[in-house]
Order: sequence, then C-alpha cells, then structure tokens
Amino acid sequence: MGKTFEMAYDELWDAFTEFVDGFPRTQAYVDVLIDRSSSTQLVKSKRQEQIIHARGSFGIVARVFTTQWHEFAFQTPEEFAKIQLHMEQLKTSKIEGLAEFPSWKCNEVVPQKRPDLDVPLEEKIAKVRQLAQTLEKTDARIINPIVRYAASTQERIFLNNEGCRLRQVIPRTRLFLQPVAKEGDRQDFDYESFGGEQGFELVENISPATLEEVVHNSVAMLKAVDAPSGQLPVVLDPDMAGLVAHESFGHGLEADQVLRKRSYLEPLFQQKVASEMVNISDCPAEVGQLGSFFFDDEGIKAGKNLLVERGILTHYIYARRSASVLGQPPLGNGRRESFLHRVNERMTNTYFEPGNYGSDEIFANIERGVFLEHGYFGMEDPLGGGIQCTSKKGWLIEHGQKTQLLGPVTLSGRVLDLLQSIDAVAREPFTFHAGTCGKGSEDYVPVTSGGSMIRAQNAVVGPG
Amino acid sequence: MSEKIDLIERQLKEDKIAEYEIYLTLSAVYEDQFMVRDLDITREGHAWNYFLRVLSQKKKKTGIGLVKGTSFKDSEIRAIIKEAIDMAKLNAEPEYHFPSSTTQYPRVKTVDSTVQRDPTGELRKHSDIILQVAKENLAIPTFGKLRLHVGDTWLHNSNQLELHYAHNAWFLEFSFKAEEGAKKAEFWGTRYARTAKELNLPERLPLWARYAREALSAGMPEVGDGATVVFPPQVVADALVPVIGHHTSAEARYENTTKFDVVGKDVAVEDFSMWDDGLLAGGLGTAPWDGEGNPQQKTPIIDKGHFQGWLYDQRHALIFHERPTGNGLRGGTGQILNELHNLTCSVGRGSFADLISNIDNGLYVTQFSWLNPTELTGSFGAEIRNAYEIHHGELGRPVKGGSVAGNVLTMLKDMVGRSASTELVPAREGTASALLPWMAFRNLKISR
Repeated sequence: MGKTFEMAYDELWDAFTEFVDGFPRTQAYVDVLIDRSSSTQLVKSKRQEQIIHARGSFGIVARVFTTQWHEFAFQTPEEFAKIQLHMEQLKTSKIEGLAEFPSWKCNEVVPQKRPDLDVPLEEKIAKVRQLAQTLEKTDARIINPIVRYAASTQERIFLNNEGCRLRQVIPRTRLFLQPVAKEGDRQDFDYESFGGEQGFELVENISPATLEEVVHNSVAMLKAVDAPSGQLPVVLDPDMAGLVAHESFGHGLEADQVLRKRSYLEPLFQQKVASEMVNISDCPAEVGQLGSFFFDDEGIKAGKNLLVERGILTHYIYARRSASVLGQPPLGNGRRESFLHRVNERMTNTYFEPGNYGSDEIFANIERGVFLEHGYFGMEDPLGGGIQCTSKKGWLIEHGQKTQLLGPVTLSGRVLDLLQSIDAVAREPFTFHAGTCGKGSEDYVPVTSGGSMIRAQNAVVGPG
Repeated sequence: MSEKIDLIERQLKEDKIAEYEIYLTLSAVYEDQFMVRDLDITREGHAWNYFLRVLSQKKKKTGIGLVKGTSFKDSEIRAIIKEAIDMAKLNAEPEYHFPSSTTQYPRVKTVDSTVQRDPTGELRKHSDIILQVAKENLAIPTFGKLRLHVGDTWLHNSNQLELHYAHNAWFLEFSFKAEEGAKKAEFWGTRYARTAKELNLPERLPLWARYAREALSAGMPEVGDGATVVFPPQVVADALVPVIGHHTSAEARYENTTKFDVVGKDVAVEDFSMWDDGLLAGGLGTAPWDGEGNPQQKTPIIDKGHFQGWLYDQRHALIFHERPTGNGLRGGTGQILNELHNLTCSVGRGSFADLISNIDNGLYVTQFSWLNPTELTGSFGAEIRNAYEIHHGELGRPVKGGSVAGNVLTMLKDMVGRSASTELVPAREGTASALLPWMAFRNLKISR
C-alpha cells in the first residue's frame, strides 16, 4: 500500500479484502470497518454565530476474535503494517463463542433531495439566520433565539473473513430550535428538534407555524409551576413514551447485559412484562429515521425486532457476540460511535407500536394526573429496572382536561410497574424523535425514540 | 510534531493568509474491558486531528472560518484552507484577534512519565489489579472498563504563538452486583483521574463493592418538601459545574442569560467562596494554556457569598475590554467553549461525621441515576440510586428510588454545612475537575 489510505475505492477494497482473506475463519474471525465522514454545524444565537466544517474525517478499525476481542484503530498505512503483524500472531486453532453469520453484499447510498455539501454555505447561513430572526421577532420576551443546524454524511465500508463486502453512505441532518424567554427575573425555554436521514430539505420544510409554536411554548414556560409529587396516573406524549421505551426498558434488553448477568429482564424472557396492549419495537430498517441504516457496524443486515408483543417479552437486542452465545439471530444492533469506539449492543429506532385510543380519549377519566411532554433526558438502570426519565415540561390533568402548565417532570419508580399499568395506547399521533444515545456516559450513536402516546395508572412523578 | 504543522503552515503562508491558527492533536487510547471476571476486549487506537481557524477582518468585525481535518495530503490541506477562507468571508462577529505570545505560561503537571513511557504496560498492570479484586468475592463484578488516554496538543498561530503540551488521563467504569435470595442491588460507578494514584483501584473497587452490598437492604426514602440533603464531592460537582459554569461565563453575560449579572451580587451564603482553578494539581481541566493559547489561571468566582466576576475567553475579553482568564476551551469539533476548568471552594470546619452529626433528619445521597441540572434555570430532579437516611446525626438505612428535586442556584443560599475534608473529583465527562468538600443543603424536595 502507498503512503496514505486516501486511495481509490478499488485499491481500498482490494487492500482490505486481501487482508481479511488472509485469516482463515477456522483460525480467527476478522473484520475491518472503514469510517469516513464530513459534517457541517451552524450555531446561531442572538449575539453569536459559529460555522464549523469537518472535512473528510477518516479512520479504520480492524478487530480479531479468538476467545476475546482484540481491536486496533488507526489512520495510516505505517500503523496498519504493525497491526497486521500483531493480528497474525493472534490466530489460533480454536475459536470459542462466535458463530458464523450469513455473508452478503451491499452498496447503498441514502437518497437526499439537497445534500448538505451541495448547498452553498451562504444559503445555509442565510436560512439559519432567518430562522433565528423569526424566533426573536415573534415575541419581545425572546432574549436569545438559539438555532443549531448539524448535517453529516457518513460512509462506512465493512469487510470480514466470512465474505461480507458492504458499503453505505448515510446523510443525517438535525435542526434544534431553542428560543430562550425572559420576563422579570425569570428565564426559561422550550425547544423543538427535527432529524432524519435527509439533506437540507429538512430545514427548508420547517413551517412558520412551527416557529410560532415553539416561541409560544417557550414564553409559556415563564408561567409554568412545579410538578406535583407522588404516585399519579400519567399520559406520556410519543417523545416521552419513546424515552421510557428506550432508557428504562430498551437498555435492559441489550444482550451484553444478559451475558454480564446484569439485566433485570433476563428472568422475564418470554414472560409478561407489560399490559396486553403494549407492543414495543426496535427497527434500524425504518426508512429515513436518524437511527436507521442498511447494516450495522458488524456487517449485520438491519431488521425489525419486536421486543414486546402483546405484553410478552420476546426478544433481546443483539450484537454478533451476544447473539452467538445466546443462539439468536442478530438484527443489526452492533454499533460504534466511530472507529475509535468499540461495538456495543445498541438501540436504533425504538418505539411503542400504535394502539386503539384516540388522542383525546386517552385523557378521559383521569381525575388528577400529569401529562409529560417533550422527553428531555433519561438514564438506564439495567439491573435495578428503575426509571429516571425527565420531560422538559408537563401539564396537570384535572377531570380529563389539561389545566396547568408544569415545569420539568421527573418520572421514577419501577419500569415494570409502569408498563403493567398501561391501560391505553393511542392510534395517533405516531412520531419519531431524533436524539443521541450513550451507553452509560459515553459511546454516543444517533437514535430515535417515540411511537404512540400512552396512559399509565401507576407512575411516580416529581419536579425535574 | 512540527513537520505536520509545517505542512499546513507552509500552505497558509503561500496563500498569504494574515491571521491563522493551527490546533493539532494526537490522541491515543489503550483500553481493557471486562465481562464478569474475564477480559472481554483489548483495544488500542490512535488518531490525528487538526483544526484550522482563519480570520477575515472587516471594519471592527471579524469573520472566522473553522475547518477540521485529518488528512495531511497537500491537496486536502489546500482544500481545507480554501474552505476556511470562504467561511471567514461569510460571517461578521465582534472584532477578534488571536492571542499573542507571552512568557508567562504557568508550569503545571499534566503527564505521568511512567504512562508516557509504557502505556500498554501501565494499562496491563492496573487491569491485573482489577482482575485480582474481581476474584475476591466482595461482590459480583458484572462489567468494567479501564482506559488510558494519552495525548499531545500543539497550537501555532500567526502571532508567533508556538505551544505544545502532553497530557494523559485514566477512565474507570465498573459495576458490582450483590445478591441475596431474589434481591439484587448494584453499584455502577465511573471515574476519570489524571493519575493511577488518584484512581486508587485497590481502595475504590472494594468501596464500590461495599456500596452494592449495602444497597441490598435499601428502601424508599421518606418524602418531604424541606429536606436536608448531604452530597459527597462528586454529587456536588455534578450539580455545580454545569450551572456555575454557565452563569459565570462571559458568554452568558454577553447573551444576557446569566443570573450572576452584577459583580458584588449576593449569590451564596456569606461564608462561601469559590474559584475556577485552571492550575489545580491533578485537575482534569488543568493545562498551561487554554484552547486559544491564553495562560490558564486561578480566578475567584464568589467571595464570601458575593459574585466576583466572569470567566473570559479571548472573544469575550475583547468584547468587554477585559483580560482573558484563560477560559476558552477547545470542543470536539474545534469550537471555542467559554467554560470553567476546575471548581474549588472554601471548606467547613469539621469532618464528614461532624457534618452529619448536625442533621436530625435528612438524606445522604452518594449517587443519583443522572444529576443533570438545566444550566439556564438551575433546576433539577434526579432519581436516587444510592443513598442513606440520616437520623439524629447518624447514617441510617440505605435508600434507593424516589427522587430529589431542587435548584442549584437556590442551593448556594441554602447551604447549611461543609466538611473540612475535600476530594478531587472529575466533572463534565472528564474535561474538568472539582476539589470540593461534602456539603449539606436544606429545602430540597424528596418524592417517591
């Protein structure tokens, strides 16, 4: 190989095909992931504008499995030469704990109407400035109209010594609107975020009504009161329901937690964990969502994983290793943040499947409860099965009506108590909300969570 | 690594760029991860990144182009320079210039020479300690990570600033499980530290195992609206660093979003003082210079309850005609973040036991699921993961579940005690530290 990896595709494929094929599968499992990306970020606030462009970030990770993983991340041929020698020495006569999965070929580019890199920077800046100006002009109480635009194009090429030869190019665009409102000594905000496997069209499609609404919501937060505390019936909007599905439930289903003997859900496999109206899925094959892809970072084809079917826990979330040990087919949940981060079992697009209730009907019959809106953040508790999910805001429900706007609301308690007390799942709206997920406090990957609105009778709430 | 900088600088000079800055990093990670009592994965990785900033001056305004690159190929460097120039033409920020050379850089220790010499050997040595502790049956290990970050950072700018420093840090994540019949409990901790000595595996891991065992008998907390709650230094840091970081930043002053809007404002109890110490021994935010090349320093934030002044990066120092305090940190995409480095504060008189002894009824929270206050408002609500009741001045039964809510800005005025002893703890995902005492606050809300 030459002095640099910036070589033509054919050469790159040939070089790494030769490398992985140099390892007979009987002596080791070997794969290589080539990770190339570019990104643009525009951040506009009242008095500041930042433009950042990352051009062609590049790195490669090669790994080998015999009885454990050995992994090497690098950028230059000189490093690769050393790594090759080291990996050669790891060959063995017996591989334990890693099954062989079907090989396949793929070369996919997600279509976008206006790729970020094709849109002139002037146009992008003008649009972001226009959004910020509109937010500010809509209400005099907006003191800081924050707009964040982030677009990336990620190319991943995957090869292994089972015959996988895969390439995908995925654009991801996100827009975050956060008008900060102030009146007297009080300041607060609400926000709206959008994201998906799209280009600049995502930003162009933001309507004036959306901007007006987020300003209205921010200003309204100035009058929000503290949430009540205690055990109350709750309604979760799709964003918040998705956050619970993801943080409190989904992380407990990551099969590495089962191997670690750390999942509260392990004894409940194939048993009832939620009310019969609950169906929860994780699906990297959803079209156009932020957590979607054609293959995961272990070369596994994206599929749909029905985690809970009519209240019964039916599947975990697998990567190659955990699927091998547990004898299950992986469906595309082995993900890396970048070539410098390891593969972990991760969620993708996680959501409550639609139910039969109308969105107004779901509030009926609640004498006193809380509606949690805008899932803000959450943290997993894989062994304890506890919930910590916080919404940006909430509403007091009295006699079936939303009455008083509340500040942030923290949902706690046990996730199974909550899921088993779900007595209504809405037909619509059915929406996905773009976000970022860490495993613990690191290894961030793009995800969505959402689905349908749910009502639960047994929830612990408090101010957030 | 002057040849890499030279490659870029040569092109910039050929293009006759008057004001530029090259920020170059080499990062290496060495990591072992564990599953139950065995090694699961051994990893090693290296990455070069550079961030080029180019300025375009225009009548008391400055356009700034910022582009990140990883390739040192001539054609790529040329393309990056062109993009930065084009970007700088498109924006007009308040007048900005890069810092100039100064001889007054502080001497601080940011590397462990043993680690620099043999990172893989050091990692192996400390991984062996983990594997040994894992065998001791103090509690059941479920998973863990031990990682060593080794890095070099260079900064050159058109004002003849030529800087370099090396740095390293450890990261530990480890989870212990305790079981008794059907009961299960866990302590899952993370820790960044500048040195292995601070990481202190032989003492830290058994302590975390003990927390797991004690959590087996945990119950729900007593509820209350005006509760007194004691936090250890780590929890205090998780509460204070993001909120104090926002409200003391000159950026928040400029954006009119700080609650610390006037110097001298009464913001905390009267015996409380606080500093941002960019030179703190062992601090993860410690460095000789910040992300723009300004010297770091120790800056007072609160003196005897009164706000003392904001933390300035280069941009906001120029806007407010102040001296930079060395608080321009470099973010992951090369942007400058106006943030604090390491938080320190005045301490109390007694021990932790003395602090507890003054509380009739309260809660000592050793760990929340995620204490993540809203920077702007200071409000928070977090689930209790590991805690102990306090009754009649003594620690009582373990507590898990329920939540504590409050407001960090209000807590500064509701502080009712601090210990004399302190602990150096990490903050902001390992990019900052805090040297803080155990602290007691009243008027927090406990829900269940």
